[in-house]
Amino acid sequence: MSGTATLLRVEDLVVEFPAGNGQRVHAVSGVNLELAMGEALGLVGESGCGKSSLARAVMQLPRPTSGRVTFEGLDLAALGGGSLRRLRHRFQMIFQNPASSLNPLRSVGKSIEAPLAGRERSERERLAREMMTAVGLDPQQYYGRRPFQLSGGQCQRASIARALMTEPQLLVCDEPVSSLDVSIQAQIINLLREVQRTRGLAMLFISHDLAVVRHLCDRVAVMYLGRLCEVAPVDVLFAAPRHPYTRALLEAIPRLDPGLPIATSGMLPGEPPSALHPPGGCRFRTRCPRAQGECSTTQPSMREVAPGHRIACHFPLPG
Amino acid sequence: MDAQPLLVVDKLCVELPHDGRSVRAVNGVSLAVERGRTLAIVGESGCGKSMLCRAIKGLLPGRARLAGRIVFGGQDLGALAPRERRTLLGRQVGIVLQDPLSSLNPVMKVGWQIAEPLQQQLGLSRAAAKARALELLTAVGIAQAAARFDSYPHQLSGGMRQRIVIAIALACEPPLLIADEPTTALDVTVQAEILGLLARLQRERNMAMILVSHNLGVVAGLAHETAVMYAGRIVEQAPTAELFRRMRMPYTQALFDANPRLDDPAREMLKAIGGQPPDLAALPAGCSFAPRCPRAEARCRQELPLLRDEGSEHRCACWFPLHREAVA
Repeated sequence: MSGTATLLRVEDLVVEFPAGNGQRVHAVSGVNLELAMGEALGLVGESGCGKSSLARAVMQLPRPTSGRVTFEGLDLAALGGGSLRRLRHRFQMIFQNPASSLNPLRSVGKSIEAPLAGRERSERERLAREMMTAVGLDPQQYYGRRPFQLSGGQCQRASIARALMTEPQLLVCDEPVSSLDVSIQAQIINLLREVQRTRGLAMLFISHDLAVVRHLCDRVAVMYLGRLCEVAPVDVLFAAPRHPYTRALLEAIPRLDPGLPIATSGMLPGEPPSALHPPGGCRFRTRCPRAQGECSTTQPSMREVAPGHRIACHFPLPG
Repeated sequence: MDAQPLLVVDKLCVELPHDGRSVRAVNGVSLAVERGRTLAIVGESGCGKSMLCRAIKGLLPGRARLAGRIVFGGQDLGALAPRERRTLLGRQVGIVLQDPLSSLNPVMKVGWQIAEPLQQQLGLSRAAAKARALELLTAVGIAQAAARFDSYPHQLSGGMRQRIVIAIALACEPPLLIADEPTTALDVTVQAEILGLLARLQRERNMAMILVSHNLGVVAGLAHETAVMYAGRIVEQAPTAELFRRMRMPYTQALFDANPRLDDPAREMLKAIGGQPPDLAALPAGCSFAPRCPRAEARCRQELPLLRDEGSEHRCACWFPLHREAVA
C-alpha cells in the first residue's frame, strides 16, 4: 500500500478442524493478505465463511493448520510460547460479545490493567484510569464495577481499553459491534475509528455488515466459504464490485428507503454449501448467476484487475 | 377497509417484577392493525417491542401483570375464559420469533411440527394434515418438500429453519401474523429471501402483520405503517413513507442517523446518540428520551409529552418536534 511498511502478512493460510468420521471442516483454504502500518482492513462474509477462523489464526489462537503469518517480518509459527506471549502485546483482539470476554468476578478496572501485570500497582491503576477516560468510560464511576453492572456498549468500551493498554500496533476486531443496538453501535464505531486514527493502529475488522465496514476501513476483503473473492479499496468495492458474490451481498442489504421494494432481483439462490464438502473449482459456483463449465473444473486464482483491486473469478462483472 | 380493525390494542401496560421492583416494559401502548396491512414496530433492545408482541399472543411470563385492553376481531380477549382465549389465539394469531432453532422441537421431524397444529386446532386427520403440511412447505419456498418433511431441525440451515417456523405460524391460516425480529439471526442474503417471502405471503393471504425489528431498513420496504417505541411507549407513528419523509420525533431521526448507510461517504463519523436508554425501573419524570435529546428543554424534563396527531396520520410524542413549521 502506497509505500508504507507491511505490518502483517498472511500467506497461503489454511485452517481445518477435525469433524469426526475422518472428515474435516475446511474453514480457511489458502488465504493471502497484507496489512500496512496504520491501515484498516475490513474482512466481510456471511456466517461460516471462515472470517473468524482467519482472525484467530492470525492471533495464533490456535495456530493455523498450515501457511505463514508474519508480523513485522517475524514468522509467528516459528516463535516459541514465551516469545509469542511477549510479542502478543503488539497485536490485540476484541470480540463480539464483550460481556463474556471480561472476567465476571473482577472489577472492570482490574481487567483493563491486567495486560500490564508486572508493572507497579499504582502505575497500572493510573494508566488504566487514563485509558478508561480515553474510551469514554468515567473511571470514577466504573473502575470498581463488575461487568454485569455495565451495559453492552460499556463492556465493549472496557474491552477496547484493555486491548489498547499494551499500545499494540494491530487490533483484530471480530464483529465488535454486532451485538449492540444501533445507537450504541454508532458510538463504538466512532470510538474505534478515533483510536485507530489517533494511535496509528492497523486494524483487521471482521464483520458481516458491509455498511459498518464502509465507515471504518480503508480496504475491504470479501470472503466466501474459506477463500477470498475480492479485495479492493473501500470506495472501489462499493462503487464497482467485480465479483458476483460481492455484488449479491451489496444488493441484499435492506435500503433505508420506503420507496424501494425489498430486493428480490439478483438474490442468491439457496445457501452456502457445507464447509465439510466445499464444491470443487470456484466455491461460489453453486450459487453464482454467471457460472459456466470452467468454474466447476478450475479454481480461479486471485489476480489484479486494477491497482490494489484483486479478484478470484473467471467471469468477472465489467469494471 | 373494514369498519373495525382486526386488532385493537388500547392503553396496554405490561409490568414485570425485577429485582424486587416493578418494571413497566410496555407503558400505555395503543394501536390498531387492519387485514391486509403491515404495521412495523421499531426500537432498540428493552424498548418493550417484544413484550408487546407476547402480550398480544398471550405468551407473557406468569409473573407479568397486564392492564389495558386487547380486542381481536371484535372480541375483548380479557373477557374470555383462559381456555377460549388460548384456542382463539392459537388459531388466529401466528407468531415467528427471532431464533428459529429455539422455536422448533429438536427431536421432532419438522413436517410433523407443521402438521401438529392442523390436527390439534383444526381437527384434521393425520393424512390430511400431512398433505396440508407438504403444501405449506412448498408455499414457504422449500424445494423437495416431501424429502424435507422428515428432516430434523439440526439438519437444516438457519434460513430453512425460519421457513419452517413461518410454515408453522401460517398452518391454521391466521388472519394475523406477528413476526418478532424474524431475520435478525440470519445472514443478509438469507434475510432478503425471508423478507421477500413474508411480503408475498402477507399479500397473497391478505393477512394483517406486525413486524418487529430494530432495523429501519428492514421495515422500510415492507410495512405500510411504522411505529417507533422508546422505553415502553410509542413515541412516533405514521405511514412508512410519511415517516421516512418527515421524521418528527428527534429519537426517530437519531435512530435513522445512527444507522451506517451504504450511500454515506465512506469513512465518515456516524451521528451516534449519546448516553444510554433509560432504566425502566427509574424512568425520568418527563419525556424518557429527554436526557439524550439534543432539542430537550426544561418542559421536556418535567412533563410527559403524549402521542398526538400532527396531521397526515402522523402521530408523535414530543414537545418540540422536528418540521413543526411544515404543519402550521
